[in-house]
Formats: sequence, structure tokens, C-alpha cells
Amino acid sequence: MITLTKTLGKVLMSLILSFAMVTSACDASLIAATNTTPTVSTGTLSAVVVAAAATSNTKTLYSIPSTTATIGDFESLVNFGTIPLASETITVTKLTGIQSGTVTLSYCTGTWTESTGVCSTGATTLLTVAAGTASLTASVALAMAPGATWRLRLLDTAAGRRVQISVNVTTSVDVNATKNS
Amino acid sequence: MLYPFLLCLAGSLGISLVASSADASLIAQATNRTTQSIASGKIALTASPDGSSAGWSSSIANMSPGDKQYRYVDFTQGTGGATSPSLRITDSTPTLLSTDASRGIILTIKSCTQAWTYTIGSSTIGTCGGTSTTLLGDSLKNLLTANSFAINTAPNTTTYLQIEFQIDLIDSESVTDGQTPVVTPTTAPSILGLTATLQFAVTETQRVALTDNR
Repeated sequence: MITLTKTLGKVLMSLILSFAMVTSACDASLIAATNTTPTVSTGTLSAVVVAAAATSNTKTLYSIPSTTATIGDFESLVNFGTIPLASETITVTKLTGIQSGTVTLSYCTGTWTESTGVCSTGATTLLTVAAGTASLTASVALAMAPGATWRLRLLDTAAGRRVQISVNVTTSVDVNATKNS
Repeated sequence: MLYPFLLCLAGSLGISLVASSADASLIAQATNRTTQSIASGKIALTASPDGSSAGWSSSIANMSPGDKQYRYVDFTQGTGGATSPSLRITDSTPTLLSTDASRGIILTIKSCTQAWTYTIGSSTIGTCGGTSTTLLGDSLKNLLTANSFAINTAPNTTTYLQIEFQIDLIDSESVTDGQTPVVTPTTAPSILGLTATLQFAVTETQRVALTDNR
């Protein structure tokens, strides 16, 4: 009984000493500065061709039945991502009637009058799919901030066929930012 | 009749003797004319955004591989000296940004002996007009342990820090018509659309006790 009491006493003293040492160590150091937690996030890439009224990323390939050869069909190239874009790769594919007529995709740096197809500064051709060619891919340099839209015109000399427009963007050609803030 | 008189006389003489003894002592006292104050130092370290910088508490959104973002933070010591400062970074929402040493965030922290010169919103990297030292430079993954952090620990000094957040363009990621990103040439997961929630904690220890003769 006496031995047990002595042993317990030693253990208790040992615990007290250990606690005191830990306490002293804590007092001597200081977690001196911390920040309120910031987040560092990567953005998203998403450029899509959508119908005029679309306001969200449909995640589907855009295809249209081309209508007239004089005015063309207008659609929107929208940056639904959060990373600014410097260039895109656009592919136009004739889904039917490959042999006949040409399909031209253009944009306007001025003002499109979509009812007549007239661009105030003259339309700029992005690519032309020739007769006998099923599809054509071209790299275009349309600067697009997040949420920005370019109105494109698809002009088809053989009205009535179905045409598909696809757009691809990569991280290697986005707008890299170096910024102090 | 004579006895009381003698007794009274003896008492009077005794009092006189005691009084004479008290008059003979001298209290000589020397004091410092200016009071001496003894103050304990205060081990304290404060971090605050430098100038107009948002500091390291501000979030960084929409980074893209190749981007560099800079923040400027000042560390000021208290009146007590310190030693052995260390920095521990934690990510409470780990993703590739903090678990992949090559694709994730790269942190570089440089000190300057004077305030950094920079323009908010500018793409021109801030410059140090004094002496610049790289304190840390590694992937966030490798920095998620306590790291020696050589800021100035002398009392009442300030260390001016430039913190660079960078994501390297290791893989090309391609997105077609808003679909899921495709990573080329590897089959690694996309680095896009991820978030790291970072906390920086700087810990330092009370300086070594001094013995001083003045």
C-alpha cells in the first residue's frame, strides 16, 4: 500500500512537471501572425456557339439549318468560362450537301445590321468551307473577356443544309495575367 | 519624601538620555533623481497589407496556368526580440492545387529591406529598392510543413514581403463546346475550376535571455 502510494505520487509529480514544461514552452513561443483565410482558385474555360437568345452554356454542339444565301444566320460565340480568351479554334462542318456551295463564317468589328446582313466596318471572314469539303478548322483571334459575346454570321450559298459550328479553347492560348493587387 | 523626587529626577534624566541618543543618529539617503523604469518587452508580430495592396488575406480568383499574382505584406515586430520564425501553410480544401507539386500552386516569398515599389492592377512585377532575399520558393505541396522563415526578428523592425502565387503551364488543357477539359499529353485531371483555401501562420520564439552590464 505504501509502495503504491509512493508510485502514484511519483507519477503525479511527473505529470505536473511535464505539464509545467509544456506550459513554459508554449509561453515562450508565439503564433504571431496569421491571415484571414483567402482562397486561390483556378478559372474555367468554356467558349461555346449558341443561338442568339441563349444565356447559358448549353454544352451541345451548335448546328443550324442554314436559310438564305444573302443575309445568313446569326449566332453568338460566348465565353462562358471565367478565364479571358485570346484565341479560339473554330470548326465548321457541312452535315449535308458536302459537294455543293460554300459556307462562310464571319464576324463584324463594327455593327451588324442583322436584318440586312450589313456590317458597318465590313465583315471579316473567319473561315470558308469550299464546295466538296466537309469541314474546315481555323484558328481565330477573337479576344473575349469572361461573359463576352461575338456575333457571328454563317453564310451558305446552298441554303437549306445543316451546318455545325464547334469551338475549342485551350489553356496554352488563353490570356495569362501578371498582376499586383 | 526625597525618594519620589529622586525617582522623578532619574526618570527625567533617562528621557533626556534617550532623546539625546535619537538626535545623534543620521539617516543618509541617496536616490536617483530620475526614476528608473524597467519594462518587459512585448513579443508581438503583426502582419498587415503593405500600402494599397490587398495583402495575403485577399482571395485570388480565376487563375489560369501561366498566371502570376502578387501580394505585398509587411511584418512588424514588437518591442521584445524574437527568434526562430517559421511559416506554416495549410490548405483546408486540398485539391491538385496543393497536392500536385508540378501542376499546383507555386509560392515564392521574397523580402525587401524597404517597401516594395509596385502599382496595383499593373502587370509589372514590383521591385525592391533595397536588398531582396528569397525566403521561400517551392510548390505549395512542399510548403505544407513548418518552414524556416527568415524575417527580421529585431525589436520594432519591419520586413517587407512580396508573395507570388503562380500556376505553371505543365499540360495543355483543351475544352470543346463547354465540355469537360481534356488534358494533353498526360491523362492527369484538370487543374481548372479548383480552389485552395490557404492559411499562413508565422510562429516565432522569445529571443535568448540577455545579461547586460551598463
